[in-house]
Amino acid sequence: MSLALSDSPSPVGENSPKWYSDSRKLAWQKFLETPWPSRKDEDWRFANLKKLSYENVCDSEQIDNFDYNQYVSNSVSLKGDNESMIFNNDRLQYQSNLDDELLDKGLIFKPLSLALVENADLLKSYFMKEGPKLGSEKLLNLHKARQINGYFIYVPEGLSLKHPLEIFHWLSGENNVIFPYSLIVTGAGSSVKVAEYTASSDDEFGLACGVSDLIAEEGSELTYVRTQNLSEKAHSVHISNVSAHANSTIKNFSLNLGCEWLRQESVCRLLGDEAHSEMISVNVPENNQEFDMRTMQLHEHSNTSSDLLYKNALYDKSKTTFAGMIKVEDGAHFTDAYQTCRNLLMSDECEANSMPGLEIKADQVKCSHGSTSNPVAEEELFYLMSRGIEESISKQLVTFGFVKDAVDRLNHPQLEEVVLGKLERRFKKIGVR
Amino acid sequence: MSSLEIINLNASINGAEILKGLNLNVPQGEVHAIMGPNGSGKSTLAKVMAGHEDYEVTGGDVLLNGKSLLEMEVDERSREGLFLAFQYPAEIPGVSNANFLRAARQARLPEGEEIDAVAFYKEIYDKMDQLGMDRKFTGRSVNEGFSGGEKKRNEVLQMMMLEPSYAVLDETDSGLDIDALKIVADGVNAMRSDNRGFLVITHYQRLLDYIVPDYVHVLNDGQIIRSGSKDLALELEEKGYDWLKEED
Repeated sequence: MSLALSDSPSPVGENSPKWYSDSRKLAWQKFLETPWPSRKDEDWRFANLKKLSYENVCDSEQIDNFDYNQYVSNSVSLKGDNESMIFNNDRLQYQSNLDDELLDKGLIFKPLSLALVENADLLKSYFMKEGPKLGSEKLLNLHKARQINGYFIYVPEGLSLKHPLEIFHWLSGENNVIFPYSLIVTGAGSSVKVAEYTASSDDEFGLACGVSDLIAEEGSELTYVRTQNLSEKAHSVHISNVSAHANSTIKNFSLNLGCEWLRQESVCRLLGDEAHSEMISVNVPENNQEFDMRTMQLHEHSNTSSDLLYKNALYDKSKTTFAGMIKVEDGAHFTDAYQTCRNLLMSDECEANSMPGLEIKADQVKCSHGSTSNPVAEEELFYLMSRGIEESISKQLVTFGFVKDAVDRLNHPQLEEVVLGKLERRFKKIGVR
Repeated sequence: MSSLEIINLNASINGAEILKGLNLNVPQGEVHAIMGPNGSGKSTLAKVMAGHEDYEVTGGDVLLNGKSLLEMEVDERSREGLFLAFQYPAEIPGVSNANFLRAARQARLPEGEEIDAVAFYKEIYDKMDQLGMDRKFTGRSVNEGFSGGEKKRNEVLQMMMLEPSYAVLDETDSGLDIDALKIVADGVNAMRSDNRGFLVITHYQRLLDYIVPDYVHVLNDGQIIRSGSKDLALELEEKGYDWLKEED
């Protein structure tokens, strides 16, 4: 029997620690007490609040005999011998056997349900420490209260993983909600790359309400690529929190293609000398899709840098909202922070809203922000066509180039190939408009 | 047998008439130079021929192989055999030179036919070597971050890959130092053949030392006011454009 979101969430497995059950209960209380966002909230300006209506949705149920092999082989993914996990409706369907050598070195790559039993204390020290900063208190508490699975990656000090880890999330069934949680921690001097794909297995309405906590300890490197290709009726809420400690680098990349309505909140906190964060996002909405994206680059320590690039190619009557805030706290001197949002308008009816913001309380900082919204430049089109390339193909080339420019920042051929492969499919589906 | 005829061409931009009855015939296999002072209509001519939408053709015609170019879309003109080497080539972020040229070559193939990638790369590398271009330029975004000289070389590379029947070179010498100019001119000269014509637009005579024309035409105020042999360019260099304007 599935529970409607108005019902109290069901308890999780008997073996999970008390702190976890308590945190779920507390979150449920907070969810009930917190009002839904309203038009008056600055963080919800331009947002289509009518979309936040989930009377009919239910906690997802286990789908028997989910043929994940078929879905994996049809999806664009790394297609290598990468360590991977596959979830459907938050239930683990498959996990590859971890390399013994990596296990011996202390790598943890486990579904949350297992990590809660086997690594409870370590998990607790990193688990959902970040409060809401961009308006989604209600949704964050909903996630925390109803979350049943996800994964925990812990890369111990000094270990560098050669190949990216790969996680698949499928959402199945009408009106189902999943609450995937991703916790990735890189210990001092370690490095990891993680690719996570969220998609629907059908074309029903459903909701994916996920949270990702990315924590890079001193001198470590973390690259996180998240792609979202839910059904065109589905909704997606995703909150990511990045904590970059001294000398660490975190790349947080997102690709949004599917879903009818999306809310994406990304915060990066720069917490130590020479911490560096990159936030990159590529979004290609069509038809009536609405993508609402809020970001914060929070510089809390001196000598830190952050760079944000959001690229949106909008077709038809689609709509994007980008609100980006660079916050430089007291004492965070010698901050370098950049923020760019570029919108490529592929129709006369699409709508791109950009609200860049700066709040600086320190001295000696270099900050810049900018946003542009343009159709395909006439000069570029003329140039390509003057070489005999048809107008429609010329437009596709320019659009692909527009997004590729952001994908290139991953600086990792395999991951770029996956993202570009998904984009190629996307543009093929959109076709000539 | 190819031919290029410009017949009584009139064109304007934002209501201002720039070309005022321009006539020119470039037979197959010949190189014609068009010289003229700033504002005489040189670049307008190039852009009108290629089909830039900012320009309005108010009279006359341009016939390529007997067909009116003005009736064709920009891309059709190219596939018909016209090539314009731009004075200021556009930058296309995220589109690699190789993919761009592949798309241009693909556009010339019948539907369903695909380019042979291995042969394509061999060809592009050969031509880049000839132009002294580093092979890494295949992977770089079209013209993005290229120096002035690199952009012009890239224009000549495209011309070599597309093998047009007529090429219009719009101020190809601008922004080039003498070494780059020689390389670009060598590339153009290598393309000269009995079945390909060139229209070389330039402000200065210098380029014509390297790409020696069969004929030189002087454009002033939207019309050809003098035509002659390559010596006319030398005379212009010596006496300046005012000499002809006064005579006119």
